[in-house]
Amino acid sequence: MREFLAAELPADWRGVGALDAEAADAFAERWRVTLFEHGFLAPSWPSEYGGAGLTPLEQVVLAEEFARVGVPTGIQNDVFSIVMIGNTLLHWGTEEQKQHFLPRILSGEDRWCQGYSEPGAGSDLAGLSTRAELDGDEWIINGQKIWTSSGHLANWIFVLARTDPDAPAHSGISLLLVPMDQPGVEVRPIRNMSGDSDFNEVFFTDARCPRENVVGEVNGGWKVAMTLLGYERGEAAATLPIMFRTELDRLFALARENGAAEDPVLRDRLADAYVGVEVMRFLGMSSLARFLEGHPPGPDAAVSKLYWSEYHQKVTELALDVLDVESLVVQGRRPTNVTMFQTDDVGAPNDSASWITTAMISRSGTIYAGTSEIQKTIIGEKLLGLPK
Amino acid sequence: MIRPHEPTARSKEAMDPTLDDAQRAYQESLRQFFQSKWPESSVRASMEARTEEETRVWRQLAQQLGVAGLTLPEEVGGSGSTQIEAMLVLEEMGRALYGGPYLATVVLAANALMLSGDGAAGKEYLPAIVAGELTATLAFAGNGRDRSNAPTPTARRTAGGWVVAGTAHRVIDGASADRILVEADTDEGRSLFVLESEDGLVRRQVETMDQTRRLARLEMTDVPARLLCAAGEAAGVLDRVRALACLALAAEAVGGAARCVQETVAYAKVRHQFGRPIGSFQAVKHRCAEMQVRLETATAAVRHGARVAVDGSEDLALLASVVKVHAAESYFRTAADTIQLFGGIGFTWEHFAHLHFKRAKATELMFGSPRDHRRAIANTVLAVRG
Repeated sequence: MREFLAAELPADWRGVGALDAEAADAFAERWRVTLFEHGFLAPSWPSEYGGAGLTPLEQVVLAEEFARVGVPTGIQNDVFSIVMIGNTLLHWGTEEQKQHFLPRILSGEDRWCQGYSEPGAGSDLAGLSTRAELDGDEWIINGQKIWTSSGHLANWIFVLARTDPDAPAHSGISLLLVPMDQPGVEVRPIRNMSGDSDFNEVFFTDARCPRENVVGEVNGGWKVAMTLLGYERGEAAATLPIMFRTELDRLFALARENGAAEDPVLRDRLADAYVGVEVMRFLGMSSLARFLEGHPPGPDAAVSKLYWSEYHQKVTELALDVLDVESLVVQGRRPTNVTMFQTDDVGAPNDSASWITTAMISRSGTIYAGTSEIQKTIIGEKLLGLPK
Repeated sequence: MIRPHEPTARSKEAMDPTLDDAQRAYQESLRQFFQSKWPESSVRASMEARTEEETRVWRQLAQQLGVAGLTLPEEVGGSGSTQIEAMLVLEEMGRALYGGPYLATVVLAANALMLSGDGAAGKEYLPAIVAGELTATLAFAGNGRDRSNAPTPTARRTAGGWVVAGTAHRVIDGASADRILVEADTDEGRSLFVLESEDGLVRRQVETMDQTRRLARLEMTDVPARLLCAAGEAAGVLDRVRALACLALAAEAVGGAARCVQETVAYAKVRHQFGRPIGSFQAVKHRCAEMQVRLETATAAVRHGARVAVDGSEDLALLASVVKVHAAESYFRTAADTIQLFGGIGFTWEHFAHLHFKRAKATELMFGSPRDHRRAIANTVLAVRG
């Protein structure tokens, strides 16, 4: 892995964060092609579908090395294209679906986004009301999705829709694969509190997709949707601690430079952040041991997700206090979100714009993919067996 | 009906992905031992006064389960196991609120004797320690890293050999230990001694907030002592023992916290108010979930600390500070939440919760408070890297 990275990256590589926004985007696109050519874009996939067929341990090593040197594992949409729908198709898809969609995902021809949440169905996802009805050989879809990250960059969307309005909430849902390049699909950007517009509303007005574009069984979409959410985290147990440690080291550098490290209160909080990120590493090693033994992520993921998202809010609040009055002025390079939308890119300069934006983005961590409250309920009910 | 000892939904295997089968079996034997031989009634009896039972149980622990010699080499009767097994012992001791000689005798004294490299002293004391027949302790200057103004005891050479003078505070098992190791300043620097006589030694047991552990003040007036290591060369030994002691307290904290979570969750399932189990209310459920997160993270931290104590792959002092801060603070918070979730009954003397609450606070403060450790951590990680 190190040889591959050494051969493919410039000798003076310091991470995507050392590039300006435009250069970072251009790099990400180029880098994706390189990964594609080596099969590293979907390292866990079997080679017949364009993957590298790596074992879980090899996947972890690859992810760790990428996180260390600060290169992305794909472009923004690849979380949805490869990690989510690609993996789901591998598990649930028909042979025709795999043959058709997987190569197009890897080539970049199809770029996916996720149509799950709705204005009236957030934490209570099963309360969704987008409907799909069969009309001959096509599904007709009507309704609205929201918080669709990277939806403006996608040309396909996987949609959870109600296909049996009379069935109980969880039983009448199907997962549909819908092309976005049609008159019945409209994407409107939503601006988030950092000022950026990464997520969107997606409106469906008599939108259509072929009858065979159902993943799993018709009305059996809930089960499929739940396995899909499990793919969100795998080798994250190894990469999150690396990413957050890199970020914390950058904060330490800032605190040394501006003298905050001499303040006893801030010093105590900085040490506390170090304890926090180390504990994340220990927890990661424990989760990883389970992952490598073949246990699926399951409810354990709730512990990890709750932990890192709460940690990150605490550390970015600290960063603004370390910056002190410098936090009043947005100056310098903003995060590009090429690497991830959790921390700023590896190698980013210690500018106030970096920390301010990251602090704003961190507020979403305890909301998306299950709020902290939902995670605690999962831990209480699934891990501790407390009654509903 | 849910019995108090019913395990939580999560299997033990899932909690311990890094333990092998032999380690799990050992953990199970230990747990059974403490459940039958050191129930809460034994804890409470020993809080009042030293009991015969304590001595008997310690001998059994040493002789039947081999706990005293776990990490010691075979030459002195030990079994040459690792800090991983020692950590399992400590976790079960924490779970059972055990306050017997293990921490002072084994973690402090036996480790110091081994690390001192003094073969003669080792041969003299360690086999008896392994057999459970000799207890010992180590009096750190200031008992760790605290800010007490008490000066460190000093030692000087006399015609008849070394003598130690001064006061050592908050010495674990100091009133009862058969042998006392003392950190003392000499002209050459930090040194380590074994007191060789009761002459000039006054041991005063002190009243402790956490009654599950006994502390004493030792007043020494030219007590004859034997030097371990060369004079002035004990710093490395003492620092390593202190790091191991921090990891030991962290492991105990994990065991104590596990017990608190287990009992609290079981209670939340059976205690009904407003016609439903209180564990079905989110305010209660979420507090339990937070306890579980603290427990899992602290367990992972302690397991990693033990692995590093074995393989030396990381800076042990730094790691021990991190692990101790997290495990001890987690234990305290969880013990406090245990009182809260049991409600009025949790505030009573007869309930177990206050025993953990006090022990958790003592765990936080011994061998360096969280603040002391964070200061030490900051000194390391905020230093400019070369």
